[in-house]
Amino acid sequence: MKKLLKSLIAVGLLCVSMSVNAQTTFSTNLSAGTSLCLAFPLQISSITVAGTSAGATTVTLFDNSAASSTYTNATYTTTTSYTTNMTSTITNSAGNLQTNTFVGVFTTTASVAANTNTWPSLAVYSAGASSVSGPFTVNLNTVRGLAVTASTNATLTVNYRRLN
Amino acid sequence: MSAATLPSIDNQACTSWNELDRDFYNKLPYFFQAKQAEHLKTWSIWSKLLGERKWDQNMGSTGKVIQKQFSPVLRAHAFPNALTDSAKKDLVITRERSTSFAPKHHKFESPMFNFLPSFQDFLKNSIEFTLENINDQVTRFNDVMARSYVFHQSRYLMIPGAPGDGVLTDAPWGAEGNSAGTAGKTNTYLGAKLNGIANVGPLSLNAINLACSHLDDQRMRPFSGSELPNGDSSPLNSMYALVIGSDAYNQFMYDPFLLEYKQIDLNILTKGFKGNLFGRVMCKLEDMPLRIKLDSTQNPGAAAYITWPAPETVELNPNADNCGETIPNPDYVNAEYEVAFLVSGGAPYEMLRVGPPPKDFGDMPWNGRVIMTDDVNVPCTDEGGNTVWDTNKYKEYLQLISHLTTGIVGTQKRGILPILFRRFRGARNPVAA
Repeated sequence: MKKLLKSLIAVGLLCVSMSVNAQTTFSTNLSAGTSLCLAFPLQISSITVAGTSAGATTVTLFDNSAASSTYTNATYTTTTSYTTNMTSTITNSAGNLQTNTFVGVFTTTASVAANTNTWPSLAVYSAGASSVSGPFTVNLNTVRGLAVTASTNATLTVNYRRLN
Repeated sequence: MSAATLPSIDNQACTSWNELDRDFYNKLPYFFQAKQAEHLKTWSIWSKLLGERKWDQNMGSTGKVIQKQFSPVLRAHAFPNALTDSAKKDLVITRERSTSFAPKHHKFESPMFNFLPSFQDFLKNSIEFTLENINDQVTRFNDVMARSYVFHQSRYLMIPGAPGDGVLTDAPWGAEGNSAGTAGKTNTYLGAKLNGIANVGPLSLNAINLACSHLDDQRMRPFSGSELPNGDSSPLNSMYALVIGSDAYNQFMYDPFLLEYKQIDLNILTKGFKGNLFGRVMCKLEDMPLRIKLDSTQNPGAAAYITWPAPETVELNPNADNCGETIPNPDYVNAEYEVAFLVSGGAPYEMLRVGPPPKDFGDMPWNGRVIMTDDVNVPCTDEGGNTVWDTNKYKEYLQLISHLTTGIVGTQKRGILPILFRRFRGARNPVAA
């Protein structure tokens, strides 16, 4: 019975491992600016950046499925609060003016206008001219894809597993 | 070799091969076999976690819950004057606050059933089956209604990976949501947050611990326990309830914190992870948790980028073997984000229990009970070919209907913390569409 169970567990584990996409290496030559590397969800396990003779480079990774480091948010409402004093003035039954000041917090809504935002960077790596940085072991998960902004020409190599 | 006419007489033996046509006699083209569709029962979760408030006739259209409030503790220090000096004094004022709510209602209907299928069809009980199904859907509706209210009304929202402890203080709250995603915690707000956080994290043990600390900070009463420490230098003897989907719970056995600090004899391989988290959180599994899927065809940041997929759908491919089956919705299964809820005690939200209908409308069913009615109109055609409506005087049709009165009121909207997290499955594999 135990052997049967063991073999069943082994088959189960095999099925699980088979359903996961294999590790893939992606390498690209980047020029200055933002480029789209991969346009599907992925799990990045390592990153290598190589500078060219053009000079030192800084590479910034974004979770995006387009060759852009920005996105445009629609208008939305948010909540803000600030400390404030509230004063209430009453005339009491004896005809005396009574002023009470309450210390507190005032919570209100605020509208955030539509504007263009930069995607939050997943990671930033640099490499000197004609030198290699990495490979760096990472565990980055993207939902949309991988877009990269390079300050100057560079070669980027990522080891990843496709998630869909 | 010619076949003899059948029947025939006086045939020569062994001269012909007389085989009868295989389709000569009548037979059934199919033999139907009945089978009850198996499905998981619908259990209500939220009504058991929340409190209850009665609502009766002649109480108007809107309710207002008024609560006394303790005065705030304003002191970090206390330095009274010496007896030789005149004493200073503290002024203590208690206040009141109020929350409005309204009882709601919703109707459920079957299509019109003609008597003929029940008379001639192979499968019986289709009306009773529909009745049970409507009952299930009514139970589910009430539960989902409570969850929707709690999500949109909650004062805070936690997204693991957001700066600080992940709790967003700028979440819209105090307003009900709508199906368009333009009220409450709007789609545009959620999209802006999910886009603006680099690596939205899973529902890790660390995130749950932070959420617990948040409820402690908010001075929310735990769900159960004495609120006293177990002993000196031990955690509070009290628990919060975490409403969570099963795959987020299954994930705990791969949690890096658990793997690093687990007891050496904790057998997660064959017995899985079970038990309370940190002795502070008990988990209540929800079969169809609230999920968000990003629509990659939309512009990130647009309201339509956030979708709330339905948990189930129907196979409609006529060539599929399971055509007509209710199956899990692939968009729901592969949704990237999910919402769990950390619930404090003291009934932070209360479900409304609406009393009976007014006396003169005593027959009006509105407690969600499914009833069978033949009080319907039937279309027929007049001389001019126009559709006119006749009464169901021949009683050929019937319909199942249910009218549910319900509602919920949030009396302490800091008492439940929704946690919007990135879904992971198996050995920390992120879910992707």
